[in-house]
Amino acid sequence: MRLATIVLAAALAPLAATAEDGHDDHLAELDGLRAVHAWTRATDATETLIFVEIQNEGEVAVTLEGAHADGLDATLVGFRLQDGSPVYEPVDAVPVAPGRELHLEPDGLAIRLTGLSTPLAEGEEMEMELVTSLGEIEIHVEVEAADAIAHSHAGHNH
Amino acid sequence: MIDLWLALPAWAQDLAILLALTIVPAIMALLVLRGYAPGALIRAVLRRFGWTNAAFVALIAVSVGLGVGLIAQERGLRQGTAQAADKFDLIVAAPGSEMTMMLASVFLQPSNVALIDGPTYAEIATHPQVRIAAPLAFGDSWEDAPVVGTTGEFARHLSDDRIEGRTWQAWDEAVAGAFVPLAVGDRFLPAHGLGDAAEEGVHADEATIVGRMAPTGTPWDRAILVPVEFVWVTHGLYGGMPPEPSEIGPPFDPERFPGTPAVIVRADELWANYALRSEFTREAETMAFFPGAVLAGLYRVMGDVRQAMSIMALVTQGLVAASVLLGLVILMRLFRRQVALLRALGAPGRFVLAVIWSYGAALIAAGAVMGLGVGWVAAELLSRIVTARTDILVVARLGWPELHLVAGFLCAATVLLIVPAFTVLRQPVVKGLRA
Repeated sequence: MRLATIVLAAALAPLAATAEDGHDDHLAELDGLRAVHAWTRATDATETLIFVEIQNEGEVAVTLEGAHADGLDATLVGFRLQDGSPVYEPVDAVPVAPGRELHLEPDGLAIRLTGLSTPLAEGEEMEMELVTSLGEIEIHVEVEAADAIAHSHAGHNH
Repeated sequence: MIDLWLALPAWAQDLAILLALTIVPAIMALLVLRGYAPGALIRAVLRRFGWTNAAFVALIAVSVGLGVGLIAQERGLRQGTAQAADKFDLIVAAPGSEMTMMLASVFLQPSNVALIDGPTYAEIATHPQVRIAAPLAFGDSWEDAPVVGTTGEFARHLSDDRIEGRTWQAWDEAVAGAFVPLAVGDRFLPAHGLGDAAEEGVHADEATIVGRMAPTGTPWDRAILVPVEFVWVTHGLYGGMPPEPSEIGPPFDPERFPGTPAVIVRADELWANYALRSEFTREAETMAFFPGAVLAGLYRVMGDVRQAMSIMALVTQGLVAASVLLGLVILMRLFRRQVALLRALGAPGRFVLAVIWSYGAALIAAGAVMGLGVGWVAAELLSRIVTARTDILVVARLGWPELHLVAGFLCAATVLLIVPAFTVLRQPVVKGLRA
């Protein structure tokens, strides 16, 4: 029984390592500024919204200024209801106080990417950079289902 | 092609869809009527069976109108609730349910919630990005009108500064919502509690109405706004003597501040709202949320219901179209003999087909157009009922979705109409003459 447990643990070890590596992709960090669980929705349109949780664990206020993505136009946008329909409007840089979090999430703040030339399918991934007053943070964006309202690992601690 | 379509503005896409749906019946008419002018004959048939035709058109109009009214009403309700939340950019409250707090603050459906203390309120109110930080105080009423304690600045913000009279200058003055049955100069004594649970005679302090807000299209139109100090004093929460006029409104002394269930926060810039939300979302201390986002979440859940309603409306229209066609087949039996006579006199089959198709299309088109009118009336009536019951101004206007629905019905029905027309043509002439 004990042998079987050891064998099973040895067999699963690479999988666990892979899963851990996968989880590492969920977190990007720069001088105490953490970007966690970046995600977007599967789409075949030419634009999409990027969501991510930003945690300022540093000692100074940090400003989120925008984002960069290869060949795409990236704009920081804010949600509002117009006649009962959702619209996203460009927003200036948003400060995050020390010890506070800023959630880019559906029906809230987001980064709008325009100029997508190929559809985004669920399970795909893409890289981009958040532009902050500390510098640029490279984030790994996961493509979730077209009707997702949160990252599939939302709530996991990193 | 897809890029070109996506590049079009929304109105152009809607117009294109409408044109595409209406061009199909037009092409059908051109094909069926090519070379013939059966207008006089069709007018004669319409006159000959006038009552039957009128009943047929009325049935189509009612069934189309109900679908139109239902869709317009759903959109009107969504726009009305969004409009009601428009003045409430950001709400800061003690941690709990965002939905409960939104219903309490925006739609005046109070419930027991934890309070924000004085130091926390002071921190919100003195934040450099905050322009308005209005505490709310619920719990009293006059007749059916809730009495809500807040600041004069918020009363002006809520009414876009459209106040007949003025805002309060003393702790026992009040501003009435647009539909409160009190005039400027009237005095009222609030009851403790709301609705059936309201207790008269608990409070001893009366207030005087000094202003009346213009209609806002929100439940606040039936509320009476008082200085938040009035609620605190009448509940014995402010201690000592009532405040002097110079002491009304912010800044409030954090030590004397008895707590508030919610603070309505307004910033000048959109980005600042997000910064403030980040700043005042604190575990076990405060939660900050956008009522618009909570409503959007609600609409998303309701979206499934809306989709179900739209599908139901489409299925209903499909059933109506099927019933209309079946009805036309039955109707054709009324003048089966006349059709057979036409054919016996040598009228070409395509001419007879043109007569039957045009007759049916005329009934369907008249019913569909009248259906728009019925839908408009239905939406108006439903809006008035919902507005009266919820105090949320619901204005249901006909828009592109309704036009698309009616045009879609017209398109499908006129195309399928060719089937009963051919069915009539296939009937034996001799049998028809003996009918």
